[in-house]
Amino acid sequence: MLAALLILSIGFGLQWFAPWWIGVLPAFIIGFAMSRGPIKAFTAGFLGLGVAWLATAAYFDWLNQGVLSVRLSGMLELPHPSLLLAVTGFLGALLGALGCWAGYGLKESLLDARKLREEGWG
Amino acid sequence: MNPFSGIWRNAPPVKERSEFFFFSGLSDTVRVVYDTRAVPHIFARNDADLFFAQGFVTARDRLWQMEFQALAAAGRLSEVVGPSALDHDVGKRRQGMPQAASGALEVMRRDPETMTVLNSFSAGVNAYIASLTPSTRPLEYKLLDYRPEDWSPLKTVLLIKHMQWTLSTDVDEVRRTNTLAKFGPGFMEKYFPRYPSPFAPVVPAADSIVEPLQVNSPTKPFRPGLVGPIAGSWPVEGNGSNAFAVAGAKTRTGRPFLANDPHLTLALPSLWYEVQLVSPTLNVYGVSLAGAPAVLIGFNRSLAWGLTNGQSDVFDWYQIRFKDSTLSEYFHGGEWKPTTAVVESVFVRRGKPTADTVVFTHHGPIVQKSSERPRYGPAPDHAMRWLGHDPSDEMKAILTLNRARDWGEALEALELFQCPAQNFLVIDSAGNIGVRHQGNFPLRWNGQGRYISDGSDTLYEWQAWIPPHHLPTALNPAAGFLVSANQNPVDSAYPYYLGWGFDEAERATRLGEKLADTSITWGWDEMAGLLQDDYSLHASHLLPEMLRRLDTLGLSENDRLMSRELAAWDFRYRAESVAASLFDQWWRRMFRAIWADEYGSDSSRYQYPTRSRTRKMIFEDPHASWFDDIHTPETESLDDLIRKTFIETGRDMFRRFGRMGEAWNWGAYRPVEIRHLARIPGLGSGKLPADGCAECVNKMQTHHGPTWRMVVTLGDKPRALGIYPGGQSGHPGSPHYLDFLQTWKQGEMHELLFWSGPEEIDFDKIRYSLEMSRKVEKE
Repeated sequence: MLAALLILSIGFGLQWFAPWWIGVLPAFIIGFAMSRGPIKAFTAGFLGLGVAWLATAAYFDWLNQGVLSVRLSGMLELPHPSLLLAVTGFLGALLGALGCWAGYGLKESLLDARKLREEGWG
Repeated sequence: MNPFSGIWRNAPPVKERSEFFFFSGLSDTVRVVYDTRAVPHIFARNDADLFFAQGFVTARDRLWQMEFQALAAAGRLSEVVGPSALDHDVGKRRQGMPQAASGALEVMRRDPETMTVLNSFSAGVNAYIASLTPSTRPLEYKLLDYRPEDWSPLKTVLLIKHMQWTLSTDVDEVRRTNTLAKFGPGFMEKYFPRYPSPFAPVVPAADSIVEPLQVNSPTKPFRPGLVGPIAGSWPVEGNGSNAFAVAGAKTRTGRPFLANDPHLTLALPSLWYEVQLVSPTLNVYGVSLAGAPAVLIGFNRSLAWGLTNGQSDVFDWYQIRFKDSTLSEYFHGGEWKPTTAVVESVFVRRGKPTADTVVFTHHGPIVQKSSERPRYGPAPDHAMRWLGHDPSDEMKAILTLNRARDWGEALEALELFQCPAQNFLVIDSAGNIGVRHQGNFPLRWNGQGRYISDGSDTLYEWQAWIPPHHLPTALNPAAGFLVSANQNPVDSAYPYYLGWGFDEAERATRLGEKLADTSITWGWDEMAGLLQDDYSLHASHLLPEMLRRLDTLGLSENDRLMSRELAAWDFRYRAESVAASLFDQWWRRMFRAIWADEYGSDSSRYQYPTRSRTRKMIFEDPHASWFDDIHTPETESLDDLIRKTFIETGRDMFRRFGRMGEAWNWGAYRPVEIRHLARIPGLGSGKLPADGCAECVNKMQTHHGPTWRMVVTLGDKPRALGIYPGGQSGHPGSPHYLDFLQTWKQGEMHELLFWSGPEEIDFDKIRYSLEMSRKVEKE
């Protein structure tokens, strides 16, 4: 849970200044440093960055009273404007999840490598 | 999708906030207040600051549109959309648009005032561009994935040239030539009359011209052959406008009223940007061309003006005799002369750059070469002569008009206006109503330019110009009103030949009938109502005759229902009218049945007789051979055609929309759709049911219509109503992107708020403001 919150806040902060994929970075690092299992890592990244993206988009949409989302959902032929928000949130979530999971994965493989070396295979 | 820098950043808060800016381009403080409809009212202490601010606020609302249109005009669209725009771009180079714009800018540079205005406007646009980051760029830049480049006076001139192009090209000349080649001169004389009947000109009883200039004409007429096909994209009929003025004697207030509605392609964002400009030297309100400074149609404290396209001929095609296929020499005035070749580079996104050689004769460029697939122009190896290539400073004319205080000063301003031909209807606070058919018009011999001209004969050239004091002008006509609806500006009493391509007089006749009606006292409702008039004179004349001739024996139940519906029609093209849809389709089918068999396939190559001429034939010559379908062994009569097309209409309506019902309504049958400029789906208006028709005063067509409606009266202070379809903001995420649409569709108008100065601002009607100050650079 702490991992998800950290990804959310760091990702949210970084996204304003850096390119769109920057949210992957904190997810990856936190996945590497904190996660205790592939499913937990995936969930933390999914929730963390997903909420960051969804909440930001929802906030803009609320200020805009949905004018743009209605028009763009027309452009993309979506049945309902809120789907645009859902898609945004899902993309952020996916990005975070993959980042965090990859971070965890890297740590695991390094640990595995160390274990193998210690056992005399390396 | 990313909400931090992607499209969600293009969803601006509905509640705007006032802002402060510091710009080094300003010399003093400027205040911009946005009223409840998001119209900026700009108050500046000098003209340079005023136009800087106009550039800034226009770009703030319309940057993407301005730039996209300027790129389109320059033939540079491929740079942002890729190879799909290549034909368009090469076409624009072939038309000589880059040369036309740079030539005009050259002339404008010689006038310090024009240049100050253009440079300040440009600096204001660039100040906005400089404030953008990748995440705050307008939506379309993100969707199409490119970035804005710097604005320049040349881009503004390109937009002006594009407008001139839209309003003054003439492809009908080629179509007329083909029709002449196919049917012969007798047909042309009979079915293509110079003046429609009945008809009243734009300029009634123009001052008699004492000694008209003479011009040499060729002794032997040139007979060009069949050319074509009509390739490339050319402005279509559907552009046209209404303007009318009523003298104080006929109005409720005793002051004159003016109404105007330019009809052009309906697009989003709108072509027009509404604005009030106030400085010590001017105070003007109206619509500007989005991307150009000043106000094109509008009013100031003591003068109001409206525009309609004048349609006098300032565009000719010349058949050129080239020495060989290299197009390097052509025959003219008895000798071979060299052409000029200009190599144009078109840069293509995701593609290779293309080099195209444009060949210029002294007449003008060769748009389409015979050695290539038809893609750019209607007449291979012909040169195009266009007044838009002659450098002129329309910016100066408009600026001077913005400041003019009365009819006399307006006339002085108008004399600077050369292209395209425009009818200027003017009212002033002294109570004058006046009209001027303005432009720089070639002194033509009778019929010169009606058909393709002989490019080797000097007598086919524009030998001289009609002197300005001979241009059709009228002030305070006895009738107490003026009407201009793209009809012929003059009648046979005028000594000069102006052209053959004027609109049918139906709208003008309808307006004239209403304005001559002495039982009407004119005021706001009457003026605005007349702009909305959806009565079809054409239908009112023809339909009773069609129904009288319709043999109803043996018609189906559905068909009899249709004829009853038609018989009960009031000839008004209302969105909820079924009869309007029926008549429209019936008439179209009939027109086609009369002419299409003789004209044959490739119909776009020819010009057809007009509605009113065809109608005249139905009444006066019902046994004309044209009614016979030449593809059948029998001889069809007019009555046969009427019955056949009636039955076809019923069958088609039934097949497409089922039993007669709401789906048959005019509004559903012929919806109006305002598309996004780049045709991005979802960013247009969608299909709208709307009143009006092609021959109605309310000239509403699928993608064309009234782009700006305005009614003005002048007294102690000007009062005005106005509306355009769209909204002030070009940002699809803005609540002001489309907020005028419903009002426009319902035929209603907004009150335009004109304030004499900052002290008069009504703050209840202000939404927010921008304060701009000079940025002091540190040493």
